[in-house]
Amino acid sequence: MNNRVDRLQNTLNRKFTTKIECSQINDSIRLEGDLDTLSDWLSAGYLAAKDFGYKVINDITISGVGPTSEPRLKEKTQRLKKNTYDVLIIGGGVIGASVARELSRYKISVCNLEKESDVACHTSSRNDGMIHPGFAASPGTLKAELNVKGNRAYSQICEELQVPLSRPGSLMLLKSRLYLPLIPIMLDRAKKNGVDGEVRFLSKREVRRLEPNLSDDHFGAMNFPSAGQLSPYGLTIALAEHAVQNGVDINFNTEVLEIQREQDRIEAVRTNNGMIHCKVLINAAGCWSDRIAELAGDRYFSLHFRKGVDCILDKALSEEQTMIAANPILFKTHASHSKGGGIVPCVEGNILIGPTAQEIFSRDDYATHLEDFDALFKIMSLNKRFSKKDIITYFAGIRSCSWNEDFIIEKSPVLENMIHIAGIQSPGLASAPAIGEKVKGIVLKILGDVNLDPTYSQFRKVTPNVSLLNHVDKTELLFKRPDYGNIVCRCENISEGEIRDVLRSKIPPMTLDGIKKRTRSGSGRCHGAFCAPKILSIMSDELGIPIEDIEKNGHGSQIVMGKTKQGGTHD
Amino acid sequence: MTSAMMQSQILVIGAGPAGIAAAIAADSKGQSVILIERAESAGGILNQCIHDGFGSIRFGEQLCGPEYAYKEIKRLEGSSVIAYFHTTITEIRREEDFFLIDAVSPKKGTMTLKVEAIILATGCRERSARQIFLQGDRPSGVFTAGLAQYVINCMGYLPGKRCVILGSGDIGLIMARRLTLEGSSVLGVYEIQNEPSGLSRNIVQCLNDFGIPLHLSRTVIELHGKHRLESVTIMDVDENRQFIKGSEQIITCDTLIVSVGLIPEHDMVRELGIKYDPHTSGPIVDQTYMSNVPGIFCCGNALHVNDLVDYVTESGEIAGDAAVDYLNGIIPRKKIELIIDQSIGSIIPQTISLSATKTFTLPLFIRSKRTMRKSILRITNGGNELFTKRFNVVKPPEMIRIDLSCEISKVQTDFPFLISIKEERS
Repeated sequence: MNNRVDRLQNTLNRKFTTKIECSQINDSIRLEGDLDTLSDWLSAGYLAAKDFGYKVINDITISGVGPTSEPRLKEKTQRLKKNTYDVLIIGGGVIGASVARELSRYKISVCNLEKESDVACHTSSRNDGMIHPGFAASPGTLKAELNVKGNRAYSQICEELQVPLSRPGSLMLLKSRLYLPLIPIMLDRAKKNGVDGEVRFLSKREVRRLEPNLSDDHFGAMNFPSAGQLSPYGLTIALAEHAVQNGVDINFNTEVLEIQREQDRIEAVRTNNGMIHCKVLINAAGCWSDRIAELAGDRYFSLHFRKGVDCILDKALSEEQTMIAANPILFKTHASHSKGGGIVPCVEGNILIGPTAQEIFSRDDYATHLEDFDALFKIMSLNKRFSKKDIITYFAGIRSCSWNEDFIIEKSPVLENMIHIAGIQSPGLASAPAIGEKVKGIVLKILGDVNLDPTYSQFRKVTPNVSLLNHVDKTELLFKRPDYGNIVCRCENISEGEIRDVLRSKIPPMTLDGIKKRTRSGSGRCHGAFCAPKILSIMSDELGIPIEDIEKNGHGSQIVMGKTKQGGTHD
Repeated sequence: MTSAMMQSQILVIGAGPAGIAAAIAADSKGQSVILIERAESAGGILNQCIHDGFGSIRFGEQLCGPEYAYKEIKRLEGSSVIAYFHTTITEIRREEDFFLIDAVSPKKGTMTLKVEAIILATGCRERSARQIFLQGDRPSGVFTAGLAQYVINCMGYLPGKRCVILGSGDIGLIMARRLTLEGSSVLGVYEIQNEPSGLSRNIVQCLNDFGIPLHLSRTVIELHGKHRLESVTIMDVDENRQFIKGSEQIITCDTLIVSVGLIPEHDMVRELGIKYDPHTSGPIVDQTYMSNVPGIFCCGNALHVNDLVDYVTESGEIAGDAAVDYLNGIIPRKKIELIIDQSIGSIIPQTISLSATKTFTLPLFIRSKRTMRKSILRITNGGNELFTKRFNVVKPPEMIRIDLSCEISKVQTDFPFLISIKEERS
């Protein structure tokens, strides 16, 4: 027994009436026992993290219940594209896609496995799309380093991928006079983290001049000009498409069931669709990354999950605020590890409010509740022009968090060819390019002698965004492709041609949600009531599948249930 | 390749019943009229309304939606209105004394129109499940009633097999019957208010006749199902619409039909500075149905949500006639505001413009805020009673239409018209 373990055991004994067992496994600490509440469960994990960092395995149950487990894909859905790759990436979120794209620059074979039917189905499509400036994380953390690097890299990446990016800058409103003496400390932190742009304090009057609709209930704001925003799923799809364009394979509906090792080396991965051999295995499984580590017999960390709810306002309000504004909680308690949410003008023209933060004992519970709106309305009140009736939709996402709340990005301490990327919560999206870059470095080290691929193409091939074309170009285009003149989605002005384009793209969407993420049809104020039937018909035509088989988001989420009574024929 | 450039005096947007009526009215007075419709044919939402009950006022008979549309389309075809179907307007710009409109269509490509007046007959859209803050998961199987109607009647597909209907709006009631006829089981209609929001005849014909239960003061609060809908949680509300704790019940179903109201749709002109009425969600208009932006008129469900298509057609005719008067330079002299008290939900028009004529007669469309029996509607002006009418019963779902006739000499033009409905004590 060593000191750290004894000390933790004593602390836990004092804190909880029921016995929590601590045991050390290599460098990690494992907690076992049973507690009454989620809040106690979290306290135990955080206490362990004080000494063990992210290397905490919290196996405590809550009133006898362990974390919920999800059904697995068991049936074979399709043939795998190939059975041997140099690099296998588990997970088709923004991190998996970013890593895949970085690796596609090299002469190596890369494959991405995704259990859903599309990329960006979980956390990567369920966040506020903010490209944080890199101020929030403490200097010296992985979060701080990769966030600043990632923020910087986005200007060029978005150019190469043709993904719209805005950099409206952010205002961190200071709600109390007590914060004012902290300004030099904040400026110093921004400097230490290397935040881009001229970070400065703006007086209340300067804030009012920039954003006249913001509530005056503050004492000025910190301004971070490098803060940006983009569509998180738009980016993930673009990263993945660009990777595929440069030779990466993606197998959808493919779930990892078993990971086969030869001592300290990963040999192969067994999926519902068959075996795949690889030289390097990358765990980019987001909320499931601790499960993947477990399958590899390499569970030296566990995760906890924090749900965030965001709501989206009607585009008609796009003029009412241009900068990102947040009202952060500067004095954090351990129960609040979120930055507190804010108002985010999205690059598409909608205003997003959120996210909230609530710890949950599930990795895929995306349900929203009326109580979530208390916090959202409070954030919303930062702008005098916004009201409840402007909300057109809302959604929840889940942050996967390590026990020290920092990212985990490293080669396994035990396995020589496995890389874990876990705990990628906010600012994960902002950091994604830098995470891709960092993981690429680890992969190249493992693989040794690897050359750049001279056929790599720097720019993603894209199809026209008709509503952004000028009149002359549009006229010419419609002459060639009349289907661009058939507007299918009235709220977002999306044409049949654009929907057909994505169905013919490198990663054709197989679901209605996939079309929505790529074209925005169905994202507007009618929320699909007018365009859904038209899109179903186009999908059926283009994919050659009956309308009854088209799903919203896979897994039996069909839109319609068969035909109506067909009646007799007239002879 | 060139873009088509066209010109006319009046542009009517939308070829549903309101737009057809407006176009024909303006055309019959000799103005050049272009009618633009994004669907491939005229008729609008009538085309998916295969149930009957249309046209009793206008044609004196019970027609189904497509029949009513057919009669109107025949009239349109007999006029000299130039109609472009399958054409979508992408931008409207207001110039000095005309408007420039960009549109696209698969047949004609891009086109630009120059017009002097615009009549919006763009109909309405449905309030979505998200707009009433339905919580829980986001599975498939949640349809607005109009979408379900389109899926069944125009596409021939069944939205689902075990259906719950949220909201007792007319389309929801009609879909309860339609789904039952198609073999789905409709488990019940849930209405948060303590009285139905659809027409009484629809309660009888669509629910009672089919044994479908209507639950008042009871609503759906959460959806369950990660992929397809699996169940919903319902809950009782008290008279202040607060949830009653402990009344939760879970109902297993695969489909939720949401019929919780319609919202006039005119987003394409939002940027032109139109002023809206929070009660109707449509533009504030005078009796000519012209908005505060000169030259922009509005009619039909884009102006306010009607319960009878006959009124929609009538409002189209009013706007069409008035647009011609506007182009002929008939300019009203003074505006009088119509002010409603808390007994009234909404009124059309919201203002009256007085012109040179000595008398005027105009239809007023009024919705009461709540059900009232033995009540009296009063319109006063500066203390003088201009109009009264007694009703056995007024209900919010059933719009009141009255003809208001006044001699201008008797109107105190510096005072607004005050409109109220009161229950008479016997």
